[in-house]
Amino acid sequence: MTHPTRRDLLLGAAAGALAPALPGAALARSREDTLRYVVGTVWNGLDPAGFGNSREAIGLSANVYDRLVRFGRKPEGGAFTFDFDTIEPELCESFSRSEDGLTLTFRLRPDATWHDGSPVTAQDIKWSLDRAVSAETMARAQLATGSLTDPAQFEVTDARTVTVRLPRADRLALPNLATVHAPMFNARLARAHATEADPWATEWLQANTAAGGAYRVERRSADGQQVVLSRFGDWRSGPPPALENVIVQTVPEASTRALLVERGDADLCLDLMPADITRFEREGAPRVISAAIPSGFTALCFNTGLPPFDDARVRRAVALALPYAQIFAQAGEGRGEPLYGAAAPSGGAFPQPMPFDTDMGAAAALLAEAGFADGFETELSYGVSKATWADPAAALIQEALSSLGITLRIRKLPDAQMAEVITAKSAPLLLERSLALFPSTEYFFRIFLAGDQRWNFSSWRNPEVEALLPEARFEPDAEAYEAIATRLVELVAEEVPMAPLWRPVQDIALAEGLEGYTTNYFYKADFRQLSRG
Amino acid sequence: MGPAARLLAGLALRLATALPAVFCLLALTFVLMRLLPGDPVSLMASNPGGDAAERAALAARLGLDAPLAEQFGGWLAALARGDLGRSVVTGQPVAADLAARLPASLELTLCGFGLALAAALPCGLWAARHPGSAGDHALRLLGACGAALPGFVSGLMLVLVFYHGLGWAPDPTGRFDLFAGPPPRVTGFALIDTLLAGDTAAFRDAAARLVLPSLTLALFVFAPLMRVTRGALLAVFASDYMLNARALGLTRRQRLLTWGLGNAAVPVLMVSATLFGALLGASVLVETVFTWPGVGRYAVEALQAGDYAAVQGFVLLMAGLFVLITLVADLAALALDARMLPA
Repeated sequence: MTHPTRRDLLLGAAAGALAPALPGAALARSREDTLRYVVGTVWNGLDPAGFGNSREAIGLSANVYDRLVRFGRKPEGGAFTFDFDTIEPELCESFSRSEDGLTLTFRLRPDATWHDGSPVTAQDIKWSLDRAVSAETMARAQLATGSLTDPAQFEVTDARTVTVRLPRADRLALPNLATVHAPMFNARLARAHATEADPWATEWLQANTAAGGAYRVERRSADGQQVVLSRFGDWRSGPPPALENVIVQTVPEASTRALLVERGDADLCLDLMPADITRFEREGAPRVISAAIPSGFTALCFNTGLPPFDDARVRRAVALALPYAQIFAQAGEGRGEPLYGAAAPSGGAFPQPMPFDTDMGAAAALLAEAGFADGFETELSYGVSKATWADPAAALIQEALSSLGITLRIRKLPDAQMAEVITAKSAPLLLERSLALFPSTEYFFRIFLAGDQRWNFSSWRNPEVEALLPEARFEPDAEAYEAIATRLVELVAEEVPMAPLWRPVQDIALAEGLEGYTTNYFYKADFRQLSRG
Repeated sequence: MGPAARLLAGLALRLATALPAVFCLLALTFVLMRLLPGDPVSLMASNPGGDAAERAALAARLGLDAPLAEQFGGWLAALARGDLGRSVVTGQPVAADLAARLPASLELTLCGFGLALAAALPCGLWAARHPGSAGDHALRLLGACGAALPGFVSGLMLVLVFYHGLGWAPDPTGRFDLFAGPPPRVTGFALIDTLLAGDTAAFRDAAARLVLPSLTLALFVFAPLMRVTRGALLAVFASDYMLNARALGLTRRQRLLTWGLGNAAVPVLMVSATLFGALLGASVLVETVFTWPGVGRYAVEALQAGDYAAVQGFVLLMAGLFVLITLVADLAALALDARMLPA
């Protein structure tokens, strides 16, 4: 149940009392100080890591909650992008890592306060970290990827110091603490709403905040389509935000969003149709930034657990039969970077261009060698939400494979059904687009190319990969890590669990004069460093 | 039995027969939702792990691990307490979600329907008086065009012309001016709440925001309404009693007002009730184009995400509304034509 909080009632009463006296004006805000951000999906909960919360909700929470640390940023193409290799203090004043990499020590700011004015204490931090690894939220599984699993790892050493102990020197422990999955809560406030059945106040925190970040949630509409954020004046964790208010509004129709941005009624939009983006670029307005997504990929994934794709020769044959250039031009609108056509894999970054390119002769020969000279029948699945690019890509793949005698049925599935098919690993071929939270080769392989979890679209269980991954994860030496990563990439080129097509970009349309846009690791808007020039 | 008693008995029977129908509909929806491919748990478990243990825990949390009959029983028991469950998409109780969205849908549908009626009735009357004329054909063509254009196409075209091109209409993003904020919620109807708040500027704004979506809806139902009005009036004009009235020397106006309109109103009313009910749930595309926070879009989003509780709540609401609307239409028809009293 949602009960109106005391604050809601007070605000409502204030609005009711003021409205007759000052019609409209009382609650009206200045357009100049306000950012209007339009999005396609609803935000559906305030807990940064609540189960089932949309990516929009998660992105929004990053502006409302602080973390102990954050990623730095570096300039890129007229804007900024996050720097995975630089971690800065956020809610803490400073932090250090012990020589052996097993202990992280965080020293808190003396002047930091929560939105309700109470000071940030080491106890709050301990409670927040305990909650992240204990409560039923998405944070638990995410933090486990950085060896953060047990409340006993977090210790309050004095009133302003918290230490985190790691069982092994995990490369991803600190990056995990910089993500939305490790938000810092006003523990006293949250605890007051915990119940015996819900000791971590997960219910209450979905509808309320106990935060101390740069913005506070001033108002949200009952239907989840509008959120008004206002700047928190006492925020000390970074340079004060320039924009006083942010209005986040759900506008489900992409062409309506484009019209709003075009007319200057909306200031920022991250999810427009490629056709609108190319039009904006052609006309020179509104401004468009194309941000690279280093850990992103679009790929044709083979189910290596199902015949005929359990045979690497068949996978390679299909990978050599794809009309890459055409797919990239038509399905990808030529936006992003090709992930095909390399001479050989180079270095340990991944995704990177793979040594696959269209070569029908070689494809036919491989197929014959595998005993499929006359081809076979199979089907290709993808989710409806990916149709914009997957429809043309699937049609091109279907046509190309038919010349090898492969009959491809195309199955476009509703997203809930697609999720079921992926979880059951029952589809022989998938068209997928995704991104890893961290641009780290070992992490990418751990999520997408190993293990039995949902995201291993190819169901690829290569023994060498599975043996190398733990080594890489705990390898302190950068050179040795790079050597393992290079080997991992080579294995993909040899075994072809997927045929990467291209790396997508994120197209951001923003109002003239809006400066300081930073692409963050969660690829949603961060309002804190935006300003009107 | 006197007419009043017969009327009451008829009403009671009507409600009694509606109940099993609603129950069957609910049971069918319940089973269908779970039989349809698609698994909300898989969709929700988007962790790096996303493993079987996590999915099992999620299924238990959503109450999806019990046998189907038990789930349905549990849902009915909760329903008896007025609890429709919680939506996984919005994270809110379904009853609250629907209550928040229904006024928006009702207001839009009422305005659109009112607009359509205001245009279709006189046009239908004129066409019936001049059947086969050039005007009759022109009206038919206009109606066909309106009905043939899907709502989102005509809606987008209206937006392009009046918002983007001419700049006359406010931005198509919902019911209130974003910067002024919504008025205190009393009824949930934008026009009424702004008036109650004494805010005429907000009232004008809310009304302006209603124009384009209402027009889009009106375009869609104008044709069937006009056609049925025209047809009903033609049948009445050709009837024996009208011939009799004419033989008695009554003027055309007298004939129309005394016998014509009342008799022709019954089929128009019946069609209106069905159309209104259908519009309420089916204006999804119009709601999408104009960012209208209505129940139709809520249901479609819920369906896509496999949000069982939300879809069931929506079906229940729609079934209830249909029962209510047909009941009201029957009563109105009765007032117009006493022969329709149940025997």
